[in-house]
Amino acid sequence: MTENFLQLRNLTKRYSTAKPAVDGVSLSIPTGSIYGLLGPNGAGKTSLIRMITCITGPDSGEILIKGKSLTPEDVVRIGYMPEERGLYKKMKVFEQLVYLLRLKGLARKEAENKVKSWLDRLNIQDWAGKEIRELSKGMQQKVQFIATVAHEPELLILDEPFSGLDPINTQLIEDEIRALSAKGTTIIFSTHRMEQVEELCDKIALINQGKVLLEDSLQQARESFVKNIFSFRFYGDGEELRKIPGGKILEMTPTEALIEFPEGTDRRQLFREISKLDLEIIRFELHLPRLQEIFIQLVKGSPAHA
Amino acid sequence: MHKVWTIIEREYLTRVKSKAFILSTLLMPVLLGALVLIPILSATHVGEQKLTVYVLDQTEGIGEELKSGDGITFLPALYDEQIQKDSLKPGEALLIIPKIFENLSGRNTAPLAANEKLSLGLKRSLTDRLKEGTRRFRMKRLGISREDFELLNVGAEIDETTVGAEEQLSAEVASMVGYVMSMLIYFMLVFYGMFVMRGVIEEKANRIVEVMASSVKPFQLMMGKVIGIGAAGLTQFIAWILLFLGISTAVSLIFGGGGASVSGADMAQARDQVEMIQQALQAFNLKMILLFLFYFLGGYLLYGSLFAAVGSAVDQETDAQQFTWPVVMPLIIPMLVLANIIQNPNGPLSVFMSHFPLFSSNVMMIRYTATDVPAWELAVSMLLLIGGFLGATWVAARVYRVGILMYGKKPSFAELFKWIFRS
Repeated sequence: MTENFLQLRNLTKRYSTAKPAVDGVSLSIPTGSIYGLLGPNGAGKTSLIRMITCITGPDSGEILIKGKSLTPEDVVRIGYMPEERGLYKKMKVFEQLVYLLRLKGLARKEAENKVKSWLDRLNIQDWAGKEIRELSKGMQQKVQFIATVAHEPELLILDEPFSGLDPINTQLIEDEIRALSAKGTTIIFSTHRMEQVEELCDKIALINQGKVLLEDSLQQARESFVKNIFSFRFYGDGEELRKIPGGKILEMTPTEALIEFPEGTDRRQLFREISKLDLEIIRFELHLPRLQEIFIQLVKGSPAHA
Repeated sequence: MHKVWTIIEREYLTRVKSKAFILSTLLMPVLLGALVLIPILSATHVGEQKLTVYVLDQTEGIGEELKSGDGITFLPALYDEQIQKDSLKPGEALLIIPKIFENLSGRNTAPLAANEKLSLGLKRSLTDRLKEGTRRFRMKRLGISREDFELLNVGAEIDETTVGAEEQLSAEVASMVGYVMSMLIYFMLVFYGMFVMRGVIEEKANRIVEVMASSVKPFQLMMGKVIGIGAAGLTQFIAWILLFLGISTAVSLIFGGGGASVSGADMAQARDQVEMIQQALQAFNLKMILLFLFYFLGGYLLYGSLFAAVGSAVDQETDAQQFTWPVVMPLIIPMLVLANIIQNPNGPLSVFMSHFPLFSSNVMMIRYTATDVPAWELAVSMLLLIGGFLGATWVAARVYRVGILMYGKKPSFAELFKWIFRS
């Protein structure tokens, strides 16, 4: 059991509407993990993040950071890039970054040094004296990213980090995120674009209408939603596959097939049946569902996972 | 706490370094100075325009009593009225003194035809010379000597003192000082309040506010902005006072001593004006300045945070109007009854308004200059103002912390109330 950097216990947040935006949410975010907070727009992700970043307080429940109750002083340990990004348009890049870091609690000198090294690192020293409004959108995003990470937070929260990014900046940010993760930073991604983070995340939580539908490691989440669907890759006549008892063909191409078997099918028995076929099978594996499919299944109220 | 300082520092420096701030700081005293200087200059520099006046004298001798000077030369008319009029060249005029001027009473009118429009100063000087000439004519007729006339020219003034009062200001000067201070506070509150509002809207529109909110508490953000901009206002204020003092000292050095070289009633009037301003400036003792700063700051903190709350509730400046009027109204109301308060500084309206926190920052300074406000009344008014701004800040902070993170729909007043009273 890895140590949890952040623990949310039974968090509830209600705005003026009758339905709570966050409804009894409990989550554990392991130290050093890349954690995906996933759900459609309006699921309560941003409300949740605002409580973690101390922008708002929960109506009930508690947030623990390394086992201790979260206090406003902890914001220095957190770097947050909101979905709605912005900077002071008329401020110069360097001044602006130093200002934002000082607000995180860094001394001026320290903030200046950090900003300098980050500007060097992303190779944008030349912009230091430029006003934000003179920069292109892509440049502004880099500055925004520096503002989020330059104080070396232990926890990085990125809300829809790739929205509005061009491919080059997406790659750059992805690389930086991996580098930070390698250094031990805990990272929370919040997005409704599940396919974007699937490869990045260690652990995920699926959220809908203020409630947690599922929290698990990515691998386990996918495995626990496995139905008895198998994918086949083969050479020969695919029609042979129809001979497997109980099989229901979902998809069939000249070289591949997706076949569902009834619940309770003995996989060893299945393997024996397959070996009897007059077909050269080059791959045979359990089909792992995509996060998107899991989510849709959960929202539709399909059979709960084991 | 040090985060609030960081915010104050940024808000202050961005304002103070802006071109608009520097320009308005420098231009305002120049404008005020011009208001004082222009009448004086127009009175002294009459001589710059030369005028030859042909006098068609229909009386028996007034024309001879007219004295040339200040660029005005009187000459007897050479021809009859029509020909003289037709032959006027630029810088020439024809003055007709009708027979009626011989009457020893009444106010008479003399027609003047000029080739071009006369300046105000020239016309005044000409009028004074005609009056003086007529006076000398009448003195001769009545047999009054110059000495006798001087005896008749009675000079008397009233020097008013309020028993037991520290201030010894004439009512005129007092009301002027009070009026100017009240107007200044009013303008500064509206001006800098709007600055605060615009700043908040800008942060919302730039979407930086959520980044900020993840580092500092909304209350810190709001107070940092209000105080930073207030400090910029105070800086401008002090700069104005210093510049104005400098200018008026210069004015009094130039015109106060050297005034003897210029004669005429206008100059006397201008000197009076300068004297009155000097008297008013002397009236600024330390206590008054401290009171003024207190009421300015108290009022500013009260209204500044309310303006911040208004800014937080909307996405763009054009949407703000609906919410600004409830904030601006209580600022305007005292301005509407200002004259009333100056005339009747101890009436029930004045007493009420100088205690009610929404009005007191504008009204108390007028009352203080116009009458003796008992110390306990001052104390109550100041305490109420402190309470008022604490209350306003509380209300504003509650609207602000919800408002800054709300985008899209413009809230209704009912929703604003909900924000205030929700836990």
